[in-house]
Amino acid sequence: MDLIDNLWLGFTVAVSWTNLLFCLIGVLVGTLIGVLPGLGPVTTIAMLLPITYYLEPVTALIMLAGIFYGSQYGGSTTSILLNMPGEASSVVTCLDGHQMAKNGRAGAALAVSAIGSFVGGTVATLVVAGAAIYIADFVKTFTSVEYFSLMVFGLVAAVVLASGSVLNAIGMVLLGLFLGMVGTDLSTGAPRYVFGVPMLADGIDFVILATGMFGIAEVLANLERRIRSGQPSAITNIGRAGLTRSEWKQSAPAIWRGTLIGSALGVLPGSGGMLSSFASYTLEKKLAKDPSRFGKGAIEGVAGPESANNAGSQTSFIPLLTMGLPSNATMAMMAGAMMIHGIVPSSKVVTDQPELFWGLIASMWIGNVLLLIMNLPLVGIWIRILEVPYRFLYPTVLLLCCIGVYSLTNSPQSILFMLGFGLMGWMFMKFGCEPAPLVLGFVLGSRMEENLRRAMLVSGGDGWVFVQRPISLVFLVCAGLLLLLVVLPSFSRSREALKEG
Amino acid sequence: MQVSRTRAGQGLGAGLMFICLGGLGLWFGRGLAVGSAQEMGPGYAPALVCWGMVLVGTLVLARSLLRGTVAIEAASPRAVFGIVAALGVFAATIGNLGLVLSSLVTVAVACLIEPKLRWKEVALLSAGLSIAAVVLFVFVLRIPFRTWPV
Repeated sequence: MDLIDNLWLGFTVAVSWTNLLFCLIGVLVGTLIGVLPGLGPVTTIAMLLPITYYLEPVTALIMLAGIFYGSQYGGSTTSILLNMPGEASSVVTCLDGHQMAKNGRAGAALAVSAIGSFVGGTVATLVVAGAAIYIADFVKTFTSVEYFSLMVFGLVAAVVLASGSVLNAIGMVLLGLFLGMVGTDLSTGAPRYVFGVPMLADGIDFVILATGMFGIAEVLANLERRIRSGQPSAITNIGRAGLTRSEWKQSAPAIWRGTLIGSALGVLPGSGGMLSSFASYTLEKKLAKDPSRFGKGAIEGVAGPESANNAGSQTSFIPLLTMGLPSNATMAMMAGAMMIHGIVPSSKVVTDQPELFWGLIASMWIGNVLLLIMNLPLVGIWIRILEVPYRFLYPTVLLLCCIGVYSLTNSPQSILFMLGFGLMGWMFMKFGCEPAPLVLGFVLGSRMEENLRRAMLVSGGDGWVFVQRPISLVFLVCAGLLLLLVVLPSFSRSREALKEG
Repeated sequence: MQVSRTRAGQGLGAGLMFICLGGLGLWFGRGLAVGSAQEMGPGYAPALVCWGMVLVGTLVLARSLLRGTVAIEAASPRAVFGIVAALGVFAATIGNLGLVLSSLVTVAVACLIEPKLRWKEVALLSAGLSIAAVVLFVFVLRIPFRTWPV
């Protein structure tokens, strides 16, 4: 069995002392930061990206992946105890999770979310391992024509399925593509938009862009909000941690359904986690004998979406690892981390760097085990962290971003660039534009241009080649259909409903 | 929940922003050879993307003028200038003062953004973070930072 051999290889990589240690550090740091209100997974990864530069590529990715699901788990804790979602995908957890906490069942809500996340994560990891080779083999037959259409589809889908205005998001993708083209043109060697700044000659540094737009801009937005309102208070009395027999009976099927939904929807570009948790919540509410319990602390309303969320975030690695297509901002961060280490995310990763690929997959499961073991006993500590006031946090975040970026570039100028991107990101928020599509475009920019160029060179400047190749045509038709969906009134209405929760 | 809509809202800002950025890209890229579809020059893809931005910007602008959009939240000058000052101080001092002093000053400036300032906390936090930064980056990650002023 190939799969077993491969998984074995992965586990031998993942259980080395260094990798285990960094998986543990990643999960711990991720949860710790994820619990802090106002710091979601993307901000956390952006902030810690420079540090991973000094690690081996496999170890760096393992640690980042750990940070990712750790912070996602930490985010659910914040949702349940504080009614404050760290990111879009935990909005649903707030609905019933916080109600359970108010009813004195916070312990049960936290426990079911840990168990659900573990089941979802385990199943989804197997899905990733099983599907990855086949998809990668299929993608290997692609020429630049198919690659270009695939990226068009990926970007369109990410824009349509994510929340917010589609038109704004398209604009942000274009801006991201544009920023990705700054620097020396790969095939002609001509400098583009460099303005005589030596730092721009190699293109805009991903780390600087990411820390600015997700670290600095986030802090700025949070500070503005706080100066106006103030800090909400957390529920610190969590009650008994275990589940009662009837709670088990209610949540077990919800966990399995959530896992299935999440594993399937997570593969789609766009905010995989968010879409799956909303879908799971809706399904549980439809299946329930008494739907009126939902919103008042129904345990299925926590169990289903939490499993779906975690399963979805695991399978959202599939497009990145097999096709080099990041499907959301977090995956764009992972792609950026790979590129820092000189690895171009594409279907070649599976065959050329099996240790990296399978090691990462094995570590996903190990990370989920670590989360399950740690989180239940450590809940008490997380609660205390929840109460750390924001006035201690933001100077820490700012300093970490500064030193991190400076350690990579050794030039004070890079701090000013980070500040610039931070102010840009803040302006985007003011105008109702989300920075996530921009990062996707930025990561794909130069590769898209290369593939477009090559495809047109081979076809002799004939654009029809994208429609004549069947696989490419399928991608373009799908992209077109998705765009049509947005125009349909019923679909855009349900998108609006999602956005407003 | 009905949110009040205005013509001078987010859409106006976003539309103008995309048009301006696209226009700037086209202006500063005017020296780049566009080439042909078969043999694209360095200016081909940027031009394509910039015209796209101008188009999207126009649509966003038109939509907001016709239907109105959500109002832009007021900015807090205190927060904005505070961030600019903190990062500016770090950029200005890290080269000469070294990691310890630069971190101290940066954190102290960042703390000023908070309206309810407590001096004792500021002193403790900046000292603590400065020590933590040295431990993490110099001792654990072994990055050759200048720790003290020369």
